[in-house]
Amino acid sequence: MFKDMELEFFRVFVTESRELIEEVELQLIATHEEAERTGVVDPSGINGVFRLFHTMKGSAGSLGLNNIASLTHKAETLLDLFRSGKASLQSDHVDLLMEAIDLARGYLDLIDKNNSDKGREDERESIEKRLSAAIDSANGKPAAAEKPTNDRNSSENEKRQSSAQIFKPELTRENAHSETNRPIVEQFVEEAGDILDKSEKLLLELEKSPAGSHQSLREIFRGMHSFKGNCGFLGLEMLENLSHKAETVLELVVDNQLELAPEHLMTFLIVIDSLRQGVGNLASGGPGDFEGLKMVEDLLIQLENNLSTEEGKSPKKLGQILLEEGAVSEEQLLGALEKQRATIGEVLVDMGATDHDTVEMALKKQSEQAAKAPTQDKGIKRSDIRVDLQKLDKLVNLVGELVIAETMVTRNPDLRDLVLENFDRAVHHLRRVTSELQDIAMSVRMIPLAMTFQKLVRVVHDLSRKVKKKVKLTLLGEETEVDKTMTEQIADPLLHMVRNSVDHGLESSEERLKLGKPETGKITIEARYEGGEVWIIVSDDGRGLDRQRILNKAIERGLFKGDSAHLSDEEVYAFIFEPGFSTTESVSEVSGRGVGMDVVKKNIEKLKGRISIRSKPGQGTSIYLQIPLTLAIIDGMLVKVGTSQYTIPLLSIRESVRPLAKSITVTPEGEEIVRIREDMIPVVRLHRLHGKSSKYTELHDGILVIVEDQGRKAAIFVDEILGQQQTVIKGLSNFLSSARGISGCTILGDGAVSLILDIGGLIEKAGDEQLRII
Amino acid sequence: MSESQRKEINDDFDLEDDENEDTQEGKYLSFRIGGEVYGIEIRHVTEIVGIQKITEVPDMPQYMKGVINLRGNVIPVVDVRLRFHMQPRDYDDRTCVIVVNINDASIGLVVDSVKEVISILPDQISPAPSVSKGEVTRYIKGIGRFDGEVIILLAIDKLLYNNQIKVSL
Repeated sequence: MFKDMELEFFRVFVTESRELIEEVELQLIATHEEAERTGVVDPSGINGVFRLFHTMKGSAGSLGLNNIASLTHKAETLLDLFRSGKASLQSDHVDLLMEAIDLARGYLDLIDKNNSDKGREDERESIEKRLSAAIDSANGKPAAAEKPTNDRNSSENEKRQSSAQIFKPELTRENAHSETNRPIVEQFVEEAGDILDKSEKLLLELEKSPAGSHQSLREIFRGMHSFKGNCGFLGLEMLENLSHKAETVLELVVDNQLELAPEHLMTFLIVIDSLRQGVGNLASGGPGDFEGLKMVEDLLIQLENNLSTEEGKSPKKLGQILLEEGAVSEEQLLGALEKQRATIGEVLVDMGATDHDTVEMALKKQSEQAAKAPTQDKGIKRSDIRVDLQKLDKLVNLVGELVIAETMVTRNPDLRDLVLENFDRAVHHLRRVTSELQDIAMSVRMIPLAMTFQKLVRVVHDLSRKVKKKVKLTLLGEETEVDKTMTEQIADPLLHMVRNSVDHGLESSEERLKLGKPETGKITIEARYEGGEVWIIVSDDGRGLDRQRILNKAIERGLFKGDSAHLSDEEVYAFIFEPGFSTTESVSEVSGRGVGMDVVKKNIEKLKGRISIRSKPGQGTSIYLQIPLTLAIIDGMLVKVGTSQYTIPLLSIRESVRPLAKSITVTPEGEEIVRIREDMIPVVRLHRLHGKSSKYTELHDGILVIVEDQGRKAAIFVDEILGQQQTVIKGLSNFLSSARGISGCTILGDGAVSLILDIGGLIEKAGDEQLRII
Repeated sequence: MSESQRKEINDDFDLEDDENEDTQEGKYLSFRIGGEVYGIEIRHVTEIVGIQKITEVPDMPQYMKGVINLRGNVIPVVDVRLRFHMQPRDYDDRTCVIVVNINDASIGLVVDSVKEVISILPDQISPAPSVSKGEVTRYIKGIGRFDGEVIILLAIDKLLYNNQIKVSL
């Protein structure tokens, strides 16, 4: 039994070590080549190799693989010297290290073969000897000559302890983007983004409610500490400097349990902005620089000073005062303090109330309980794992294919007339499983809108300060989940709408007070599910839309002529979606250039959603975004026209009727119109549009499906309705992009292809071609 | 063409073969349309299937017959005969659809029958005759000779992309 486990451990050790070696070898080579070229050594390359040997040493030791342990220990020692700057990496060192790596690999092969690392002792000893020589000579060299410190930062360097600081800054700038470092950089960027986002969120929360601030501050401190460490690791000097300073100030705050006033929090927000800038710079290939380092550092220094003096300002301790007043002597004070400092356990023992052992036992119990008790910090921890988005897409696609394949099997025409009881049962089971798989696959790409909404908090915060209005942003339904691509696509539209609200929608403080409104303007963003859609509603309690002004502008731009009285408010408001439309007199930096709402509308339509506005003058405006939940699956109605089967999106269908001959009117141009209650709806003969033939020619023999798109109705003439089904939309190839009235296709159960009608396009096309009834 | 024959040809190449591109130089898939033998570069061909039900798509030129369902993928299909303004021919059990992939877009070509994969050396290829400036000759890459036969080599990308621009309402 034990032997098996041991073998397992060996297996794992070998696999992991091999992976590590592969990574590290490339790094080392790259580092070396850079060093040859530029004469300077990149610290991250060294760190990687150090970690390799360190890890291998540890594991080898615990597995009793003494040869490996010995070899790696020696190598690790040498590498540590490089890491701490006591020695600088030369070419020969690199060669030696490569030899060590090769031998390590050889040992791994040996383990594979013999389950032991016995052997090749001569080689090992030879390498170790040389490693020792290198270590000795490195130690012997005077430290000053080797430290490649940067002159201009030398004084600050002395203060700092981070090891990466010892390497020249220039070398790290260039190497940050070498091939082998790319993945490290990418991971850093991602993690840094997370840390900064989290910290920012906490800071903003602190602004609103300082309660529980110590915990939050501690977390921000931890985040800054990690951030600083990562920057150091990658040699990102500017970022490291700033984050280090910020960390120092935070340490001061946390250790002394200080409270932070809003101005202080603002300073940290600025710090986060600068750090973000730096990370962005790094992500786009730069060295992680950002502007205004000095300015931000000054702010931090100022903050530090303020906080320190506050510390000093805290009231003098009681004992101090008594002493100064002469009420007690110094010995008395010291004696009392001693007594006070004693822990309760000690005091009780002294008192004779209990004995030492009992106290010990009690202490033990306490620590056990503490270990068991869940720390408040934890909260609900989500177990996450990072997944490559491409893999996810492939997975979702495959599940879609599976659904189709499953239908093709279960609804196979070959089986049509057979009675297969067991088969049917199995089919049901299969369908259940596929359906569940489909649901999960769809949900895998879903993430809560919270992230997108959070970004808006910061925006509103900054914006409100800029335009000097008091704004409160309320977020509802943050946990509503949507597809990842959707979050990316609505981020900008939301941003724009919120900006509009703050800038134009909400009145200034004085105006609001004059109108009897609360001084703080309210903006609410709500997300919820409605039917098969996600509704996102952005509303404010500002001045609302001015119908007349919009109309004037519309007429001015020639968008509308004639009598406006019959236009509904909604129709008037819809004008603001026209490109270049803006009714503000002054174009502010924030908004008003009139390039916004039409782009917003386009983005929403790209997601196959709708946007509409409701407003009450003087009370506020609400913008409704209605986006279908899943972009790839819609409910469709299958209809038959001649030999073709079409799918009509269920959302577009209003009703279906079998018309009576007398409800049909023919205009002089030959257009057929059907009267449904009060509406006169034009008829679209699908078959004629598509050049096919239909089964029925008389309208009253077939069925009219009444559809609607953006207020326009049409009656589609079909032979019969086959039923409703969930359809997986498959895009239409580019070669067919000019087919109007078709938005895609889907595969039916029997493998046939059904075209999905694009109602809007269809109505347009029908309007263009004046069909005549022959 | 029988299933096994088709399978043989399918086995000659994989679906995803960027690696194989070098080894596919000079290899062509030959097929018949009317009385002539044509060839297209194998590196564009992803598979060959027998003719199956084609779903018509409206608003398309005559030669754009519609779409077919290929293992869950919906692929548009072009009738090459009609593209070359020849008389259409009824589909029979030898009619095949050659699926090609250009610039990540797949399209099927309906041909009378598929022959085989052949190698034609560059010195066996003569340039297209410039006698007639007809539309169709634009798609001809060259005239190849193999095993005593004359094979009209087509430039698939020209065949497909020219028509893309022409399709409009």
